[in-house]
Amino acid sequence: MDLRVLSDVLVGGLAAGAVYALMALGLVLIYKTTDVVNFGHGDIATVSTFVAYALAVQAGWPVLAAAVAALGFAALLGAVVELGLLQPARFRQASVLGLVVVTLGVGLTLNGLAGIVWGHDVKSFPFLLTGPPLRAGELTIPVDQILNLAAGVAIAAVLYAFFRFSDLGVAMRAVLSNRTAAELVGIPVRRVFALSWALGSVLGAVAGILAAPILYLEPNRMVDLLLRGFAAAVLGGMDSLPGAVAGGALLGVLENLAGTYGSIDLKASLAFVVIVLVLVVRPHGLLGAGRVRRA
Amino acid sequence: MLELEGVRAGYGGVDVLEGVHLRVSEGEVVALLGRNGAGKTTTLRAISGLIRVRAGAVRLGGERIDRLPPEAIVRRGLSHVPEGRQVFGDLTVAENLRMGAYARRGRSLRDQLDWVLELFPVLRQRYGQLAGTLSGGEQQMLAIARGLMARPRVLLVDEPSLGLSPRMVHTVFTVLARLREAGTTLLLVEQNAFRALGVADRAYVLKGGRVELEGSSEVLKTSPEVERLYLGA
Repeated sequence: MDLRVLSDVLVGGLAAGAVYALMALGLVLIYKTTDVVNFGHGDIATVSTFVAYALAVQAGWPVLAAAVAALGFAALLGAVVELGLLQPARFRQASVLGLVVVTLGVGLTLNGLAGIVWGHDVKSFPFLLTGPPLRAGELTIPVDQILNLAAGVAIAAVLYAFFRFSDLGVAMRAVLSNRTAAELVGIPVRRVFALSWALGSVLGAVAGILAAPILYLEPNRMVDLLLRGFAAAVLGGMDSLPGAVAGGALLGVLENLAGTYGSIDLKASLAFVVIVLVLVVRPHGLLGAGRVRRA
Repeated sequence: MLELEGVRAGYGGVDVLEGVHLRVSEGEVVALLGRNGAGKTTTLRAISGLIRVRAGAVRLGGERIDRLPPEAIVRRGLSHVPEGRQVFGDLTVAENLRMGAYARRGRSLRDQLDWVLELFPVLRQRYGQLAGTLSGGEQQMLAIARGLMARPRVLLVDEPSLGLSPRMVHTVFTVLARLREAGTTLLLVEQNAFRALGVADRAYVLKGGRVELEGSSEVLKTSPEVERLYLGA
């Protein structure tokens, strides 16, 4: 076994895993606070990435500015879905399954809109950073992988600090822990729900924008990314933010190992294998709280 | 300080409260008694905005609060310590107390925190521990302490002795007596009528969603009607 190939595989796997982890973090955040698995997550990410594409490629903005604007769009879109659709549905006593179906409908609608506006031909998306790869001894790391890793680590650290130290972050955990008690201490629960949708959608959009230069952009391209994010979330326990990060990193590395030392077909289907195996063997994942809701 | 006037409220279109009148003056401890299903908890939930008041009025310090959402009611100075404690199990004791003061975040919590920890020394020992790992009695202490962190003008406490060991019940009532001495305005719902009357100045007895009886604790303690209500004769 060539050690240099192995280390390339590991670093590349972690770089891909960082994107899966961001996708998973968005899913887990929304699920944790609002109890809803967001099946529109991938399409919200797709449409937000298309907004970045429209601004950067079609309108000629600097890529970074376009990306930041697209994140703002994602936040708004997430909050609108929660405030405009899910809260009225909850007010009318919709079941959690009903709410999940609403997110599925949102996803399909956004997918259709993206097809109408931008068409189905595959578009190339610019890298956020370009430059020579980083060399460290035998190791060569492309700049986009460095960006993925840096973004993953930085966002995970910011989220950790936010949930640990800020009033709003602790309040979001409080809502998740006990909704009635949260209302009684004066936490505006509905606004917290909207905030976690906004934040979760931003995380998905970051993943989409980081992945688009490599995956290319087309309305259905993010399905794979959503499923990998979902696998990472399930692997991590679905309700654990550190678990989502660990799950993403692990899945990225496993995929690369499978692709390099096994077959490319194995790499493509590994996410599904992970989802099925985890749900069968250890439903609360690596770091989940073990409070699995049974259907 | 707190006044209910003909309050009707309930769940899913059915009124549990059929016109409740009661008042709690500043610095007064008032007990709300009655059998299961009489509407005690519903009364507290209507006051703190967890359920909608369908008719009548709730006033806090003279101001109508019956149309406000719970978070606005907390900000006006009313804390509700719910039945079954309802601590944030996945948060530490410290974080629970911090969330108790959410309505006044941004201001210094130091004095209030010192006072609360002095009132409940056990919480100082458990400060960094997850609230879910506390015993039932400790969780009850935490729930009351969390309610006090908001510096309420009125504190509602629902069934603080429910499910606790006799020793813990004693501790909880010792704390309530101390709050009374500190001049806290308190509305207390309690199954254990004679314990409640021991700490309260006055009491209301609810039956079928209405006030059946009211009077000073001294009078009610010896009232055959209270006994009759509780024995269900």
